[in-house]
Amino acid sequence: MSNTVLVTIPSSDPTTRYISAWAQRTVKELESKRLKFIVLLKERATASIFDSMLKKHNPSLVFLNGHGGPDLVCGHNEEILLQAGKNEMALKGTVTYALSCSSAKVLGPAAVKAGVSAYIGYNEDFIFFRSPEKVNRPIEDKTAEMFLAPANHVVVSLAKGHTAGEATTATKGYFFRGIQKLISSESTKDDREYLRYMIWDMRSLVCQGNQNAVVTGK
Amino acid sequence: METTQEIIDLVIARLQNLPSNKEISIGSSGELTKDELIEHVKKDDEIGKKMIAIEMDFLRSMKEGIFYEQYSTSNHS
Repeated sequence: MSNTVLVTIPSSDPTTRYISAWAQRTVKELESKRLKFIVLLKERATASIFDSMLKKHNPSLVFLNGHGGPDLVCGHNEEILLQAGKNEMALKGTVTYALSCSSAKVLGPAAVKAGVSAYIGYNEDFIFFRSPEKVNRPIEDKTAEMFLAPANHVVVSLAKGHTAGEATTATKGYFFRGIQKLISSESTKDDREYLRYMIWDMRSLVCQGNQNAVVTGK
Repeated sequence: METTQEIIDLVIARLQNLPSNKEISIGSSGELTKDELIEHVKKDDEIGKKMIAIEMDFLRSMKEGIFYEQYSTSNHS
């Protein structure tokens, strides 16, 4: 098993800028651990570079950030990186996590059929709220944090040696603790309005394929 | 399928409570304000239907006891 993680971090609109900032933070936090991260940032998150890096490094974990749809995941400027029926076999042998909308509907099952060890993703749109005044400082956005911190926990958990199934359950647990916090008296009325969207994201997260797949030892 | 006016009104009433100073990001649909969301629900278009689906899912999940679901609560996972 390689100890390499291939990460795509496009950043071409406010949504991808936000998820990219949080993905970069996650990578930075995990860099000193046992995994080696290869980051395709912004203009490097293209189909040709992604394909080339997959072949060259044979990563054990692929962490995709970007827009998506039921059968695809995009890179920078919405260039399609992966599409069911075209190149899902490129993920063969990897654990893949797509922080992207809806790709677990069609692309995930197709990737599993093509030999991906496990595909973790969302079977509905991934939704988050943000504060417009924080657009240039997404990490400081406490509203977005309620959604993006748990969403990045999949990778944190996998990096600790947990299985794909355990990482998914732990991430749902992270969302759930946030939800419990919101229903407590400590939260503001405004914050409680995000409850249904956090529940939506939590329920949309699924792990397909081998639940026991790992990317590194414990 | 067309959404009943009763459901549309319910979802609009719920969306009115969202903070006005935040934006929602819904995948490639981009970033929307509360007022824009409400307009989509009134039109019952694709984004409006998504908002309705989220509300219905929330109501269903409460009925199913979502707040009592058990997930791993370990901080070490």
